[in-house]
Amino acid sequence: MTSHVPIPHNPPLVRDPGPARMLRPSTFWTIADPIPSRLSWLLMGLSIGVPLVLWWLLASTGWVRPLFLPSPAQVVGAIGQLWNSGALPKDIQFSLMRILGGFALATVIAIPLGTLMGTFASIRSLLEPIVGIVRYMPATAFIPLLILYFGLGEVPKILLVFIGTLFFNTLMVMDSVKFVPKKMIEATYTLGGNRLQVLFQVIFPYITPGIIDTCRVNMAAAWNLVIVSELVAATEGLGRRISVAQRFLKTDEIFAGLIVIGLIGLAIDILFRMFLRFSCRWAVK
Amino acid sequence: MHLEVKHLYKQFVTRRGPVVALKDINLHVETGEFVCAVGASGSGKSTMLRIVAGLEQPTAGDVLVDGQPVTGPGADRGMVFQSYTLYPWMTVEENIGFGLKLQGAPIADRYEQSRYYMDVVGLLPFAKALPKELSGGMKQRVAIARALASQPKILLMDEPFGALDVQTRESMQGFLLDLWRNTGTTILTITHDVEEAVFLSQRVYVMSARPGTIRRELSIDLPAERDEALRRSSAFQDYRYQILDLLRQTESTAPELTAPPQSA
Ligand SMILES: Nc1ncnc2c1ncn2[C@@H]1O[C@H](COP(=O)(O)OP(=O)(O)O)[C@@H](O)[C@H]1O
Ligand SMILES: [Mg+2]
Repeated sequence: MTSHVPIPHNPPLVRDPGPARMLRPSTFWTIADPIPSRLSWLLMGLSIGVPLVLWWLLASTGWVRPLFLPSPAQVVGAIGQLWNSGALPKDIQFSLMRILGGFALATVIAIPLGTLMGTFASIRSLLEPIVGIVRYMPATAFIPLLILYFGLGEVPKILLVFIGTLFFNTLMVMDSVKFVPKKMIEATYTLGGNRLQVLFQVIFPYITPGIIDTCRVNMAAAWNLVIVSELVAATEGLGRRISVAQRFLKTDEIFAGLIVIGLIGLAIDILFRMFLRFSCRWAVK
Repeated sequence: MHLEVKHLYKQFVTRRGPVVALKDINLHVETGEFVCAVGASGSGKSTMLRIVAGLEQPTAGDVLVDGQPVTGPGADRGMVFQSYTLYPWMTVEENIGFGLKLQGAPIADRYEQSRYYMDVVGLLPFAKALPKELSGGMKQRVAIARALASQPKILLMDEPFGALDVQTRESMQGFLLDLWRNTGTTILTITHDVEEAVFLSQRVYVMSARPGTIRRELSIDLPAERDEALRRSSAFQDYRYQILDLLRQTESTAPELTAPPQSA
């Protein structure tokens, strides 16, 4: 080869590097690797335990008036009482029904819509602008319209959850299609596959774990919305329970409602994770 | 089977202007042949193979398979990529049978065919394994078996062993030669690895870059039975140096790297 560029001698010495510096090992601050499982369980225990102990301390020392901060025991008592009176099971039932109804409807539409938008640039151009605009309209701002159109029954509450989760679900499903390797799609064509087969037999199975995870994450938004809708107008439901308790200054019942919502949310989250493990063994590490 | 590429041109329009990736490519592959195109990276090898596969449209020129122009991808031209193309949710067996499934073959045929090709590539014990449980070399064997199970007229391979370590690569080359000899498949492979090209091929097209052209066509007149000892023979090394020299020449005659435009 004759076309070598001559390399200049002696690179400039910018700074004296001094003795070699090396990254110190660390267990707690490990990046991109798991920590020992015992440490992990310990930290997870602390995550629940520390706030609980702090709460208990704050309540028992009397720093905060019991009206504002009931003790853990009082809240557990309130949960038990609400449960035994039959009010809590009924509230849970109504809130869950609204959430599941609205969310299921949103998911049933979001999966095909998001998949199509992710797969076909044409469908994306057609729908992304309108979805992008509507997504920024706060779902709660639709409450007056929903009440105006559908009254105070179940329909506006279910529709609020629907409106509030449809667009996020759609866009997140659409995004998961981006991760399908282009070469995997091309390999399918060279095996004799057509576009419909690529869509149903390659893209869709590939994004299934992503869809399940999307549902899991967006479930939290559905809870938000159903509680808001019940604060406005409802005769039962966990949101309704909280607003009634506020009117009668029953802070223990407010706390009871919040904790029940948190626990049910956690349970649904765990169910989704288990479903993912069970249905997509290939995607789980 | 007769593959013919005639006066193929490909120009990409990029933000920095047009790039001529291929200029007047002419080549052919006949039934049962093993042909390699070898060239430095950027010499348009992948572009050429993708056009033959029908995954990319040429700017000008023709690709003919048995006289019929190629207008898009199809099962008659199987393709093996460097990586990332096994379906991660399917077992080895399902991956290999997938081409026939796409073509609507009955389940019994699919079963028989994927058994046969799993046997051919030595992966019968891994029939129920998922791709993530396989090593890199095993994954590529599945990819090759999957392409063969669709019974293509020609197998196209884009640097199929490029991501493998040296030992695995050499054993895969031996495996591929055995497979070619035993199944009578017609193969067109592209690679930047000169030794790989000499070891595998009966004919080699040497490509040069900027623009991608075919510099020389060489017949590799080595015995059909090729083993590791052959790599050290002087005949083998002669071919290797001949191609390396050609690649070096094309590099030094390529236009000099131009300095970046001076900003005002
Ligand atoms: N989709 C594309 N858009 C623009 N330029 C491309 C595209 N694909 C390839 N090229 C250009 O064409 C040339 C040949 O690329 P490629 O066929 O990948 O070469 P090789 O496989 O031999 O490395 C390169 O200069 C590359 O930058
Ligand atoms: Mg390439």
